[in-house]
Amino acid sequence: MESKTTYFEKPGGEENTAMTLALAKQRAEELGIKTIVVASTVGGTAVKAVNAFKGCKVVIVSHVAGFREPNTQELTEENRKLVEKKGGIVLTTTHAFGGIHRMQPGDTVEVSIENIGTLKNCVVRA
Amino acid sequence: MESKTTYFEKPGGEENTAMTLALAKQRAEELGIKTIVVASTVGGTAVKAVNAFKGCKVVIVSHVAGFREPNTQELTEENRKLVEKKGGIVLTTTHAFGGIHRALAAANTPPAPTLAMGDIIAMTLRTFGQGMKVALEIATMAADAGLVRTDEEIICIGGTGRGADTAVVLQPAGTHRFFHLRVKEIICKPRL
Repeated sequence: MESKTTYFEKPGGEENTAMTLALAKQRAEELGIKTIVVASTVGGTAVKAVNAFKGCKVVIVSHVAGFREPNTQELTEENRKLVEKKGGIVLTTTHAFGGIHRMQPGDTVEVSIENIGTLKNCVVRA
Repeated sequence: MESKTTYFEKPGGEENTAMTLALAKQRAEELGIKTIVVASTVGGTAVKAVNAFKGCKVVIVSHVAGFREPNTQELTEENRKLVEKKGGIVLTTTHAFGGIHRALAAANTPPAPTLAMGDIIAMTLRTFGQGMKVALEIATMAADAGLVRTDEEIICIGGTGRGADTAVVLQPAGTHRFFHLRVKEIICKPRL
């Protein structure tokens, strides 16, 4: 089986986004695929995706909460509403590849064992 | 830029080998690539490759000596001679992803994947197929041996068991800078 593969000259950018969604839509139709998972930080790509993939289950995966700074979410409320209005599902969860091992210098790690005590360590840069 | 990618129905096999070499040759000509790195165990694919890529630098990467049993080499002497007669270079060296940490496995059993970095890289690349893992591994081995440059694009060909089923255009990197390796194009692979 032969299939066309598109290579962009540069990574990222508005044009690549439009082209990526169009190419994915075409291939989804050819293969009868009805589930699409799309990464989106601020939500711009998410809104484009829910509009592009009408009739599909569209899962938008945002950055984990607190990615940029504690207690913030980069996906705007406005974009979340636009996505959900169109039936898109927003998933915000631990990054699969960058999870618990991503501790930062200055973070404190506490390990407690009942009846023995607590070991407290401050993470420093190696 | 658009390019054709060929997906084989199943991994491995004679037909996929012939097709992989033909597709890789065509893409090498289109891109002006003159260096081809090919994995070969017994040497059948190696002989086909040196015949297919006349005028190119063809590096054949064999299994490490003692892979199947100590003090043996699966690449036959007959095939080695045929390869070298046609100007092919045979590289037999430590596997880039399955090196010294494999010594921790129990003797006389096939080494199980571990949490060692090489095994994790290998298992991750196998999500694209065994041939993709092999293609990137032999690129790294050839770079470590100084047989390919790390600032030029080459074509790497790997397979699943016997034969070839995966070809990629890539810019190699040695083991110490493995994550600088860049896969530029996928010419063909099994659809798994």
